[in-house]
Amino acid sequence: MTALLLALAAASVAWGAGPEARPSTAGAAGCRLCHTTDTPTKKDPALVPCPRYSMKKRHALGEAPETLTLGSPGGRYGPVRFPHKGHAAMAAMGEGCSACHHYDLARPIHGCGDCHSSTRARPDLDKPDLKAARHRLCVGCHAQWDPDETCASCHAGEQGAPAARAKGPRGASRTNLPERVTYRTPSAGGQVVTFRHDDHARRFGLPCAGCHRGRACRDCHGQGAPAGTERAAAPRGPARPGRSLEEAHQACSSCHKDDPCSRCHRDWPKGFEHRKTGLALDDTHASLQCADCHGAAGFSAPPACGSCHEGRSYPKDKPGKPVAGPSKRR
Amino acid sequence: MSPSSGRSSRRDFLKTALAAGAAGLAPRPASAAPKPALSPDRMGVLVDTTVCIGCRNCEWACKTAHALPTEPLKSYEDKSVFEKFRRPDDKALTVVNRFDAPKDAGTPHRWAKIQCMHCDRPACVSACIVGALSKSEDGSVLWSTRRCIGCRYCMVACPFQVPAFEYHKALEPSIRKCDFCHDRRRSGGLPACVESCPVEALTYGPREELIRVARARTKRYPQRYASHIYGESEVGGTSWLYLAGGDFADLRLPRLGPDPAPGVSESIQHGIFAYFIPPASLYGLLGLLMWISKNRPERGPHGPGE
Repeated sequence: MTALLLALAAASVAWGAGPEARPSTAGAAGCRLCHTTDTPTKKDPALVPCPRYSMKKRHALGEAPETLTLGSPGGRYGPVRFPHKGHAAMAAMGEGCSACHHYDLARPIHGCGDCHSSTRARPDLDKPDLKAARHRLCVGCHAQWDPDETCASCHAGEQGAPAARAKGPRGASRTNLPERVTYRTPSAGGQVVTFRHDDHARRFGLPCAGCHRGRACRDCHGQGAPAGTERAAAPRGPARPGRSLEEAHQACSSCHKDDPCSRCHRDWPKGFEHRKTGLALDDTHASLQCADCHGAAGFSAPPACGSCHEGRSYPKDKPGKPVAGPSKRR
Repeated sequence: MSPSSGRSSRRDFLKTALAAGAAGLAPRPASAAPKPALSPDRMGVLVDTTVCIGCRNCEWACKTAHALPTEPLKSYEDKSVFEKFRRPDDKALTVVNRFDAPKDAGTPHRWAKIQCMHCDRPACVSACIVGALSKSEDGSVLWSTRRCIGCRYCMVACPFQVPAFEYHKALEPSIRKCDFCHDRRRSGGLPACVESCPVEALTYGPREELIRVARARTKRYPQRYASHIYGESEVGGTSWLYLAGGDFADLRLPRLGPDPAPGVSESIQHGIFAYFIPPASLYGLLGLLMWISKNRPERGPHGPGE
């Protein structure tokens, strides 16, 4: 950080606003960093607009404080226990710290209260006060993915009752990850790729942001479909189109450097159509041999699921979707 | 004496009476009009509908501040009230309504709070025949219990349909509308709604400053805001100003021209009595006609024909 800037940042928290003109921070700190004139007066400070999107340094996740207590106990609502690190971990998949913090020139990183006034009745109306600045950041995302969120979701209750969220996030948490994700790819050498998410995240302990980069909050926190439900486990369909071969493999190839394609890309045997039996098998089972499920007892006996799926059994659990009766044609 | 002397004395009487009437009546129409000289420091509120989250805390705060009966704050989380468009009434001086957001807004809804706009040239003040409504120097349009006779002309006159009448009260019903928290502000506080807004969708400040702030926002985030500031010029300007992400008509804010609402009616009414010249001329003309016709019978019936 070359420039030392005591900010009177005229922040207006805006969603979806693009990058914009910001004061030149080149060279030594001068009046012109914050003011449009060399002779600012108390009456007419001639401040430049808030230096939004001025995060200059990439901050590591480890620097983030664990939990912050926001708000004062005196208000209508109790204070908020803000799991800062959890949010920072999510932000690391997307915009990083600058998703919320938009200014870090003067010190390692600025808190909201450094620029935003703690009193609502104030002369400078260009930027929201502290309460509003915080609420706009939180509500901006929370209201989008769940319209039923209320004040009490984050704020402690009147008699010190814990907030609804205090038990932990309802969304994608470390305990609520998809077990495996199946992709259908355009690859000729094997269309089906089954990614064992649970193994990678839990057993190998890889950080979320290691693979999930450049994601928006809504990619996981979709409206009306909380993560961890069917949506998260459902096959993703064709992989996101328009990506190059390198882009599509980026997350995997950083570790799986020398693996052959067939390590992940599998396909059903030629001419194999399990749906003829009245059950269309999930793509997850593409890599299996018939005997893996049907075993030595043959096709008349119920298939065995237990070797892979603990506590599951046919016909209570089905490895796919039942389809309308066995096909008489073909 | 000659009839001419009697005629002249009656004319003198009429003249004196007219002059006295003119002296007594002429200043009154001028004082009944809203004062055009408004304080440049008068206050206002900027409502940013792109920021509002529809929490309805302002509704609760307003009722609490005005000692109106209200359910506990928790009940305001009920979103079903948004299914119907609501107007402020005698039991709720401000209400928040929900609308569909413009297509690329990122959220499915927009919310807009409505209350008295506190016009710079208020139609209600102009329409009130007893001066029960007044525009105060700090921006608020106030209603006085002492003077109101319950004619409800203000309700008809208001271009925003805001004043409400306590129909359920048989005795001493009041006109109820937002008073811009006049008493709270006089003792240095903020309007209750502004104070309670969690996201500061309501910004309180001098009207001129708010227009500057609003213009800076629309200029800085042109994709987010429509460039117009609703209330800056509507019906001659209002103390409450609105910013929106699309058409203001989508938030059911009425399309209004820049002319003050009382302009037409006042120009007619005040024109009739302007400086008392029109009535004086009319009575003068009538007097003249009487004088001419008075002379005619003297010569007419006793003319050459008889």
